[in-house]
Amino acid sequence: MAGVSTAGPALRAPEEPSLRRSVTPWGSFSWGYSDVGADIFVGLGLVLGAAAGASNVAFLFAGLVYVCIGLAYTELAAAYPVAGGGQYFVFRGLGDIFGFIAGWAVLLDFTIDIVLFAWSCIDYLSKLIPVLSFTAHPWVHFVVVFLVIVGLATLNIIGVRESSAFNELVSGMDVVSETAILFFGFLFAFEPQLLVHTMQTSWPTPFNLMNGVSLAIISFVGLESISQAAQETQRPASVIPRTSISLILTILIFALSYSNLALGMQPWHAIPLDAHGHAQALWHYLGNEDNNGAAVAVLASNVPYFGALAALYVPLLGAILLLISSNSGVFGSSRIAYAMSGTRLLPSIFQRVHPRFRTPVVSIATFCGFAIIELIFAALPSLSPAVHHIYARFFRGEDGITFLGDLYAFGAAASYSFVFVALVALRFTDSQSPRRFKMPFNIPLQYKGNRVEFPVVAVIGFIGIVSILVFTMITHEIGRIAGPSWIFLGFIGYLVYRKRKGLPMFRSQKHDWRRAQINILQEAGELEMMDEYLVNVKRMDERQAVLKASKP
Amino acid sequence: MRSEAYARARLASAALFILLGASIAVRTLLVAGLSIATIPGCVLAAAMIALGGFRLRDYFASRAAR
Repeated sequence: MAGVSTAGPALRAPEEPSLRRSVTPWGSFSWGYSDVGADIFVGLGLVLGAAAGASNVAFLFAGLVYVCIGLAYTELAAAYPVAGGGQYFVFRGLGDIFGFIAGWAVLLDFTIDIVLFAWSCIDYLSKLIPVLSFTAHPWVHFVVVFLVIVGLATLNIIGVRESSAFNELVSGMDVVSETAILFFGFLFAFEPQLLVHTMQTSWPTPFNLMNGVSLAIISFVGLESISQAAQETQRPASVIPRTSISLILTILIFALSYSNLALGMQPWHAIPLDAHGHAQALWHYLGNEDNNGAAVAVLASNVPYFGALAALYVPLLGAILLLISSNSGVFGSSRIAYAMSGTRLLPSIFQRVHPRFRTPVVSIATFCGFAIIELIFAALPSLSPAVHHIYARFFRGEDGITFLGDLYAFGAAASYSFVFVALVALRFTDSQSPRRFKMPFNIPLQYKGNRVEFPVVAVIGFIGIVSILVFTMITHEIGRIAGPSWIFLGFIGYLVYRKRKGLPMFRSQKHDWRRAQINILQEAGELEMMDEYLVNVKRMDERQAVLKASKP
Repeated sequence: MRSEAYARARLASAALFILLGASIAVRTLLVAGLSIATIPGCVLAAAMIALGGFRLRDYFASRAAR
């Protein structure tokens, strides 16, 4: 397994062997889990702070959209087991421009991923080491997060990445730990009547509910890891659907369970009074500025009996999982930028590798640099009272982890929207590629003489994710400005680059997708699928020849 | 090839998820009745039953493959 993981973003010349495909089904599950599973550690406090008594409804809405996204990724990753993920699917289904925009949105998400999870990692550690607290010692917090990002960038440049065995161990421990928190929480402290009461008395305004839903989607981000695992899994077409459906359901169950528990739990310890000296409920305490970055640890410590043990290890386990997630942002952004550069969507400088370590040093340095800029913007209001005043006046005081959550939600919603469209397009334009897994509920149609299936769930998911994108734009001042600006500036850069290179600016280059698909399936060891693909292609060519001949 | 013990553990966890899901659905309906407060609990129950069902299908598929 180490062969896969230590490869990291190390790059291969054409004559070098490709990544070894040796990820087991559990390895594939834990790969995704260590990425998506960490999101609830960040998302729970943010959503409780925004959606109050309707937090479980916010998680429910985002969770159902996430199930649709997960099914789309499962279908596409099993049919096209390459590491590019959403960017590759959109590039293949919708062409160069949309491939660039989706990839650029994914890159925004990865850079936020680096900061947000590093930030939250330190928040969790602050529950054990109080000097790291963001509210009490913002400068210390800022410097430590900065050092974490620089450290991860350095490790990725050297080519060291956590081993998959380590991922599997941490994921296994976390599944057991989260199950234990929920088990003991529901057993000893959950009161259904309190849940109903909280939902009835603390229902948020429509604006806050939209805000909560848009933040809840960040608890489900990281599905790119499914396709990254697909690239390195033996026989991905059969393994990926099995593991990713388990992953999707596990994450959904955890998110819904945590949100219901937080709203209906009687805390073990007395909750401190709020800033105005009023009594506060547990969910309110979890969602305030002191605790929203480490809500799972605070909730766990309030579970009767088990909380005494959980208070000691949950902050540490959460911090490790969040650090892995932050590292996946560094790794993922460099890999996507490298891939986009290879397909001439980004300048070739992003393919430049370190002469000694053979890692994409420019990509890593650039996107970690963006991450540090985002960190500065997120931390500035706490570091400078003058900036705090500006944020309070123009951005509703959004700073810190809320600032990062806004942008994360924008990037995720934007890139996932394109993936749904790409899935529909690929069903029509590439019906020859065998799909070992298909999203349920399809309408059979005839398209250019071929039988295709129109995916109804993709349309439902698209409507859901676009509504989350709209919620993000309505409720987040920063997301509304910075998100579209990132896309717009990136697009301008893309046009300039394509013009300078003499490449079509608004059209796609010519791609030999047939040859590409054969190579992908061959490298994946999916030889039966490759044979099936060749037969399908031959049949389609014959049908089209007949159609052509029959035309006057 | 997975061991028989592993397969049985998966079967047991599948049964547990289905039972838990069913009990959550029943308890939610008993406490909250038919209201908006019921929906998240019922979807949680459905997700648990689905995960159990998925594991059950996996178990029978692996039995059939032997």
